[in-house]
Amino acid sequence: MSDPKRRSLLKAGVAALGAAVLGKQTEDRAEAGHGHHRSGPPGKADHAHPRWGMVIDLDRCTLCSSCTTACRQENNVPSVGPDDDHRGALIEWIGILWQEPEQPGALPTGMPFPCQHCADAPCVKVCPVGATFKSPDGITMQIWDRCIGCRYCMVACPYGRRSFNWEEPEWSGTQVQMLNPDVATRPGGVVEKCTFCHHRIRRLREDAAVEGRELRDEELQRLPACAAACPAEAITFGDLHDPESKVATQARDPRRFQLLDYLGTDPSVIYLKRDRR
Amino acid sequence: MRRAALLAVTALLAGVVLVGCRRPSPPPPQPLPFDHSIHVRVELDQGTLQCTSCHPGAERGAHAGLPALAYCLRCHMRPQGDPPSPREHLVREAGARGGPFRWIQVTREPGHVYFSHAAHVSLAKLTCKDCHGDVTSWQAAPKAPNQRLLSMDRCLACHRARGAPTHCNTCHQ
Amino acid sequence: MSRPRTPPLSRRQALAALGALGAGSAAACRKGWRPPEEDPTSIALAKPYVAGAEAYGTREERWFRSACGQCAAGCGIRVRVVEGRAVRIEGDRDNPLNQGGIGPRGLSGLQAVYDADRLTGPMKRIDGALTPISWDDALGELAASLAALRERGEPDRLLVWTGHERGLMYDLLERFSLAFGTPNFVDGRAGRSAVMTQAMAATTGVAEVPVYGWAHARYVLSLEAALIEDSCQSVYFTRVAAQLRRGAAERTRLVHAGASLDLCAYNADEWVRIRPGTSGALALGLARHLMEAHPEEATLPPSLVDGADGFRALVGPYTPDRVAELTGVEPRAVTRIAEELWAQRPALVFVDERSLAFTNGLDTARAALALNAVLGGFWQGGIGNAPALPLRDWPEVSVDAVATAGLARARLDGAERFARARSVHETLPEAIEAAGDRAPAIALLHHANPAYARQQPARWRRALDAIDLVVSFSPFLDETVAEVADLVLPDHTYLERWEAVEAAPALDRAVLTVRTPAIAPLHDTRATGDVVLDLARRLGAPVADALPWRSYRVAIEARLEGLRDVRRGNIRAISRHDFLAELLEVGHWVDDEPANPPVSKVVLPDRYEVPAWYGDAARFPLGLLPYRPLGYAEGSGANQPWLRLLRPRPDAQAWTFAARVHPESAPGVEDGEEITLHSEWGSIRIPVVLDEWIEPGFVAIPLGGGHTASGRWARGFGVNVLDLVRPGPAADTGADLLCATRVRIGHGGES
Repeated sequence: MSDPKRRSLLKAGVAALGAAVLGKQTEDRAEAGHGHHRSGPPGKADHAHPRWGMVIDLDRCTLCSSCTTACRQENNVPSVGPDDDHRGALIEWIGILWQEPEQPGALPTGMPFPCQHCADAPCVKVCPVGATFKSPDGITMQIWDRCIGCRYCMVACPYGRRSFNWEEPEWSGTQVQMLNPDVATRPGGVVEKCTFCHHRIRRLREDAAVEGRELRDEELQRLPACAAACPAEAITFGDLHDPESKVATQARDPRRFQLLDYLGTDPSVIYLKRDRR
Repeated sequence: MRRAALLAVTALLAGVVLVGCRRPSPPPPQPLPFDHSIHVRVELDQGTLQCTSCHPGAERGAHAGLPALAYCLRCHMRPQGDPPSPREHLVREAGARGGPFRWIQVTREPGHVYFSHAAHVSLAKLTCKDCHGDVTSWQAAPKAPNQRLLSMDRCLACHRARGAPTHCNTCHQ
Repeated sequence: MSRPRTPPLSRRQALAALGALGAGSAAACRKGWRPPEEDPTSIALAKPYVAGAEAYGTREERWFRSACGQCAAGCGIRVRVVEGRAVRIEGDRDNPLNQGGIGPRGLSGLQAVYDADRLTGPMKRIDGALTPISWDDALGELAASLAALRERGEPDRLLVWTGHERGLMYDLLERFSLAFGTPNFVDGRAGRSAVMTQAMAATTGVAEVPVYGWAHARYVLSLEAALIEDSCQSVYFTRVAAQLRRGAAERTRLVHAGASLDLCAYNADEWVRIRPGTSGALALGLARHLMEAHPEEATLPPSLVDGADGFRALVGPYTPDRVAELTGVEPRAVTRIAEELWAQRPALVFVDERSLAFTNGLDTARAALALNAVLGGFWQGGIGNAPALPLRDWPEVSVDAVATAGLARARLDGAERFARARSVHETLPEAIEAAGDRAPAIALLHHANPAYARQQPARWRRALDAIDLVVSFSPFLDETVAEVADLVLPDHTYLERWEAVEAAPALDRAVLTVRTPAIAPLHDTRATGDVVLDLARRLGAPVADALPWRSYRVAIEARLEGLRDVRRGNIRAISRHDFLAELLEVGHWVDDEPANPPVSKVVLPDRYEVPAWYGDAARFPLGLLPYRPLGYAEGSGANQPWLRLLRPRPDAQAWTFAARVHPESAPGVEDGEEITLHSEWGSIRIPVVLDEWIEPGFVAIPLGGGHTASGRWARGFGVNVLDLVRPGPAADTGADLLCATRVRIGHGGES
């Protein structure tokens, strides 16, 4: 990881620049309060200002691909046919990433691959209209209807975890019935991406608030659709700021790594290394 | 700059659209002319019928909800009122057929908006009246969407005044 | 299907501007009231009317517990239904089988239910075209044709075929066949591995796949098993694999012998490359080494084992060098793995359908079971018989004279010729054509699509064409419906009907999950169970007497009584009503103690053969390995696009259909080139992936491509590898024979 001081400096610079260029647009982002979502030393559990994160244990994961399908079901991700797919129009929020082996002759490593929800997200910095932004709880969010489809964010994202709707998605006939009413469908011409199932967090939060209680770690652990479906329980979700949470505990595992960590993006998705013995 | 351009285009379009068609929109074709004012006066064993009797989600869910036909039939299996409404039998007939009998939701938030009744009613302690006006006096179903409920400026003004969160993803998706 | 075009940016901007205008002013200039369905801002919110919505308030949601029907496992699911529409399927955390997990197949169930190309009602073929018909007419005509068969004393000319994997429909159709009087009841259930059940019947006397005690094992050896990728229990195995690696303080080592980098090889701690179909020889070599190296402990006492002497004689020649010669596994690796197995007991050796798809499948399975016996697994909780579910039997069928005469006739498939086969598929096309005036006049096809999913499907189409009245119960416009069926009586999909689903053998105790309809039927379809009962009523006694229930649900409930009778398990309600109510609420019944029939004696094999390959070896040098890819299950999922997007291999792409071959075995062929593959029985054209991770000398091709029907997502994608596969069953078991065909590569231009 790069020098945190340098990064925060860089970040402050970018924020200032953004404020100057975008004027009022950044107000909400400023209000959102940068700074909570660094993965620095975890403090006390504070669900008002959590940093949502995910640990994917590759030593549990079998690449059964349930997570990828569960995401499509939950988030109304449009399916494209073979022709479109081969032209690069596949829309995917979480897929399987295959990494070349480090030593020649060794097996490649596969891993579930959602948006990394970087604390310092390159995509957010380039969006000219503030359609994509960091939420105060560390999610790289996107407001579909604000997106103008310039795709700068797709260029900026070092992980390639953003997809463009090359056309108005179609749900033929009865297929429209199965769409999840909790997640808006995206029109043609906008970029879409993983939201950490933000709608499910929001709902859980409200339910808990109505019941007058705090969020419980157990109900968060398998909250996103990918984590809920995983038969191997390889995906754990929760608050990285809460040192007691399962996700924070697992994130301290010596097997931990982050993808492209040398870029200093500080992903909120932390992988635990596959172990072959 | 972009915002200014957008505003200009919007204003232009608004002008064109408003000049182009002055005819008022017809009201939605509801299955029955529904009278809220009568219903809130209905005496039950436990008191009068409440808003949440028919819109139970208002306190605990995102959506206040409209009742299923079966819920209407709990009372309207037998003629109600004196004299009964001349069109009340439509409820029973729909019940006998098994539908369809669909109330049309007149004011709907756009797809990219998330609005939670529970958050506003149970947490922020707003009353129904604060946003919807005095529904208890309505003698007919609304004819057009309630603009007060569709204005983001109004949402934001209240959120700011009350110190409620204003990040985009509080209300958007 | 969508085609990309220029990004509609200008339109987007216009939309944004219009949005800013405010919905109100936009509404003001509409000519009429615009129903919410037309609201363009989110399709997720605006949906056309659906039957069943009346029972719901607006945006009201309910959750139903049910049983998945997308593969043969029988996982418990929860279905989220909003306003009468199923919008989410998730695993039921309380179900002991899947414990909340769910596979890609199970998640794609919504795409089956809401497939835009589903059949919407009964149809009859008139002048070659399928034409809508009323249920009453359709059932009346079918009942009349069935009655005429019995009147002519030819009840055996009814062929009943069910591929229904889990549930009581199998039993219902078998009972219908019995009462009607036809011996030609075909078990088409792919998930009940015919070879494995026969191997278990030969070894322990119980004809069901075994259950393994994964939790106890410290070392697991997979012999060409597909584990997560192709199994009726992939969700369960996924859980098991995670448990083996990280579930206990001490990691259980998983070693996989296999021919290519599939998910089992990927998930193993060690992958031993092996020539396809030869893992039985490896098992014998391991057994030989253990019996030689540990003569005092690796004994096979006559009190527990039959055929020990024959087995000793069998393994004698399988020295490490001989094993290496047959399998390609290094001699040193053979002895090392044997010693590891021994040192890390309890050890488990297992095979599944992928291991057994060769001509020697039975030998391989018996060798693997024998190795488990040598390791003591049968007596230490490592491997055992599947637990029995205490369902109450339906009352005995009384068979009349017509039926007795029909049942006395020989089965068309000649299952008697195979020692332990209950029924055989691959002899049928030829048998139908050869049967002359005793050929089937009526065929009832339930969960079966032989015009696509069988070896050399063209010959199946020809054979079915010779049958006067082919009836399909498929809810989808599959190949058999589109090209062959004369009458189509579409079933509900699994979210619309009742069923009692016994979980696939996996746990040491029996589990039954109840499938309750989560949604109202989308179309004018009927549950096939109810249709069969209706037909029985129309046929009158004695068929009606054998199937007296007024609905399939009632027939199921009669059998669930057995679970109440035993007074064990998670539901202890005394009264019938309370018991059923609680069962529906909890969603499943689980026994509270292991109820596996004990393994008293293990019979060891005395023969083994290496796999045979058909076709002239000089002209066709490569072995063809058709395989069931991830998400394929029983092959009915081609209409579900999510399943086409799975990429479980390193260089696999979504929506790509390719053959895999080692570069050494395809000289002069470029990666990605379209080649022609020839066998003695057919040719296909297919792109090729040059894959270092596959055993040289073989070509692996996934099943599931080349549909000519089955809806918009299936049609015209990929090729059907079954067009290459040699017709005919395995000689000893009568099972389907996927991996026994030799092929050669021709270049793209060649025909």
